[in-house]
Amino acid sequence: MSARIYNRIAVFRAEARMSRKDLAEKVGVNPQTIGFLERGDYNPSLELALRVAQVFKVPIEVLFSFKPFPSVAQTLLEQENRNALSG
Amino acid sequence: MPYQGDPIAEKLDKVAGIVGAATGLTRLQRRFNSGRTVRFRFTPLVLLVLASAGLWLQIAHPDSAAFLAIMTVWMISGTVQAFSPIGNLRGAKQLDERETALVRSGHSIGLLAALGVAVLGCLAFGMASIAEQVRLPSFWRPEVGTDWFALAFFLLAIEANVATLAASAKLPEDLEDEEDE
Repeated sequence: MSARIYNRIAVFRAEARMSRKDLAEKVGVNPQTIGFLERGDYNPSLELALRVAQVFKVPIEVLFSFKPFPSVAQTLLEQENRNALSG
Repeated sequence: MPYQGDPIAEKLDKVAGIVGAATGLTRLQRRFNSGRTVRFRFTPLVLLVLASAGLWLQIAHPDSAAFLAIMTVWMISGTVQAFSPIGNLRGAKQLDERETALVRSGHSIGLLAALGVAVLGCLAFGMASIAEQVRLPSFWRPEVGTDWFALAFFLLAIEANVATLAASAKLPEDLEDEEDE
């Protein structure tokens, strides 16, 4: 039995303005695999996860987690609240 | 785009287009060119039924060449498998880790199914042999060469079709946005 692994590859890919095909070519997989990975239909091997993290130049735990990532809107809202409290 | 130029070639092109659309060959060719695989849910089941019918024919008429029918079913199964998630229509393209895992798990399940049928068959044939020795009502067991051929192709057909079914079931649904694939 394998646990669900959440990821935010789609967010990083959009930020980098990279297509699935571009990312797939960089990490050496089929573009369909990147799509399934983003959708959570496929759990990557450690090697593939490290390669994806290497492309975006971030630590692996920034991209993958056992817990769902907060949405971008939620993160921004929390940041705004923190800024309001401190300033 | 239809061909334009020679009138005879234009008409032949139109006929080819109509035949392609009616038989689904055009759709299949587009799918083939896109490199995407087809999820088979019913075709392997139909082929398994046909292989079983061929074996039944071999049992009922040992002198017939029913094993050739089972062999044909197995060959068709192989063709179907080429379009399935475990087929490699992209030729020289190397499979990635997800595709490799899918091929391995599909064939593992197919081989387990064929092995299960082979083990049960061997036990049944052994019991049939013992029943005959002690003069109890017996049942069919392979005797002539064509019986063995039929069984071999039957097991191959089971492996191919169960593997196709398993891989098709394991392949996630298509992505909604395939714009950049």
